[in-house]
Amino acid sequence: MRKKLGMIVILLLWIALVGCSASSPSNETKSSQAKPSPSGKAEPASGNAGDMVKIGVVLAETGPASGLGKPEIDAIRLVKKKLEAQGGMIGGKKVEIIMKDYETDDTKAVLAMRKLIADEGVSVVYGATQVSTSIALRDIALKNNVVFLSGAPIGQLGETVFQTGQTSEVLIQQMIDYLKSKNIHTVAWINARDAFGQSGLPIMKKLAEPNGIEIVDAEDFDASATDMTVQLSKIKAKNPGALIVWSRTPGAGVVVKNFKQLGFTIPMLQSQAAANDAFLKQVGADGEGVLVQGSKASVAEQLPDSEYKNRLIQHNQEMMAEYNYPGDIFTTKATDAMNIIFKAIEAGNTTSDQIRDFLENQLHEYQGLSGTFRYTKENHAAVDDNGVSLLPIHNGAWSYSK
Amino acid sequence: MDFGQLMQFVITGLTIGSIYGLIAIGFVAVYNVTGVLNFAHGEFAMVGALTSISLIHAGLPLFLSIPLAIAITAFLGGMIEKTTLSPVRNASVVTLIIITLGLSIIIRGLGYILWGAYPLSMDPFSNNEPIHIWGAVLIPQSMWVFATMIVLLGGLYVFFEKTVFGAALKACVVNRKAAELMGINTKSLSTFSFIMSAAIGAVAGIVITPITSATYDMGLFLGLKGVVAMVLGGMNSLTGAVLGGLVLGLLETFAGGYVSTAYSDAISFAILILLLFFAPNGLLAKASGKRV
Repeated sequence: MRKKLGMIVILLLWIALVGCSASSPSNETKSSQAKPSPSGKAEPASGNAGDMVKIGVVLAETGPASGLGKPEIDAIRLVKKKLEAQGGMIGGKKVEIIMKDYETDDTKAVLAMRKLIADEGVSVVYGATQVSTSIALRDIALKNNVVFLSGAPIGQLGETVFQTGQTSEVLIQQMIDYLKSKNIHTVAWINARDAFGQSGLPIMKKLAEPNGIEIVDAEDFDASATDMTVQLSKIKAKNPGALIVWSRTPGAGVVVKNFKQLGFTIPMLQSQAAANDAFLKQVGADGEGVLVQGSKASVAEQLPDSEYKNRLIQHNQEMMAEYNYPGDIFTTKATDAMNIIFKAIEAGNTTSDQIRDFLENQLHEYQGLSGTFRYTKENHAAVDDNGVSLLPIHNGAWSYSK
Repeated sequence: MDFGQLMQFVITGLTIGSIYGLIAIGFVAVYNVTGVLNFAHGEFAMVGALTSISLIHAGLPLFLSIPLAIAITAFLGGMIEKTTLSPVRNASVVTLIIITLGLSIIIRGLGYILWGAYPLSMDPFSNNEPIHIWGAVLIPQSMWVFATMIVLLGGLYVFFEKTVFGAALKACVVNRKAAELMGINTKSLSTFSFIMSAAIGAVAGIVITPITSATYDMGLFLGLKGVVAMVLGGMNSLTGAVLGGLVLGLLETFAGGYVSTAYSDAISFAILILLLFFAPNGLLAKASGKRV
């Protein structure tokens, strides 16, 4: 009997362990908000104000979110390599990029960010592959008055927090515009039960009504689930005109498979979190015709001729040469983040306050790879949707239709 | 309530349930021989699935790469037992279980290094045209999963109950000392049970991959649900494990379908806890004097 009791105790511990590791990437992380260090707040290390500027990067290179984090960190490595090739100097200042992998673990991200600020004295941090992590890092940035460029859409920003990449409002509006252009007025919604998955529906609800779109059903699924037939059967009974999926892989890909098996014929729209190679590989032939909101870099060759097209092609070639895969929504976003920081440094700004001031007042209209940046003092998330498009999957590859 | 939808929930529930059952069988097979809950079992499913995908990508036909992947995983299982558990076989059961827990983390880490984080998919074994039954859809691969589970169940039942070797394996857990005195080599039997567990895990992982796709961390989820199915079925009964898996699958599906998908896990775990309160020995508890 004692043997069995011991086993059950271990079992419970294990379940707790599994539960924690499975849910930590999706927690809203209120609990891991920055607690002030004994001295009130982390004091930046000295010696930063002079001729040295340090940029911190906190991304999920490994762990479940690495399908998104790996391209980001690879793109930044490429930027770093190019920087070092020219002596690591920008506008007479020595620039150092310090990269941290948070292993898809919010707690590790928070620790990494605190270290970057307290030990390295970084002026600016780019980060977080996931929404929940970015929210946690935002709070640390605000407390320490450090500029934070969030790679994930986190809605509420703050005085020193900017967002690279389009807001969910901009992206969902693009989806709605597509539905309207196809004369579709009813839509079903399905999302993963993690921070990113849950961030979309409230925005969709807000935007749907004024645009004359009715949400006939909204379902969700566990981010690690392997079968969504139940949710899709419920959706099928409501007979919507299209389905919007708001989830990252592998969940996003499982929906595609079950969607095909259940014999749906309506259009399926997938979010930017599915716009990567992992998704294409996972869905294979079942993905034919699925629309994914992805970077125009993925279809650079098919774009109409422009200076923008040439820059995307150059980015793709550089990525291909270094990592053997082309650019996507994540590589372009991360590259843009580094480039706007470089622009600020080039103009002689080295401290957090100066960089924030530059982004608000002097960046004006910056044509990045992921879209046009228009930051102002009032809007820290102004990136146009001109860098993204709904890309239909055709023959296992992205295609462009406009 | 729409009948087609009800049928769909039943079919989905049985499909998910047989996945859990397949994993649970492997847990029971090791538990019956060594008295150890092998937490690395889900990882064997991952290794089997990803190895066979790699072999297929390398150009081998399906019917060759599957047995090869099973053999590789089984060999790995044996090696792992020899190098990690065998040297400390006199330690307490709890120590052994914690070792398997550590092993699962190591294997998962190696899986990540070898195959990366991207989910990989495998083509279904046969034609993948969905079959329509009373307004519901059945995927042919689900039948493969179900059939594999039944065949494994039958095979293991015959093995444990009708062969001398199987009886010897069972004797090890009832009383290891006595078994040794009867001339049974308990050391090599423990290794054998791990080889068997790894092979069963690999079979399960491979047959479910066309439905779920495979990732390096799939073992965690499978292992958890497999253990729940095993506990539901009464820890040491193969039939119980299968039934436990099916019950769990149906519970989850119906809770998701008729209550809310947000609470399907919570509901199934709540029922599990209630069940353990009122029938602590599982669904198919044998009132035997086997355990002290």
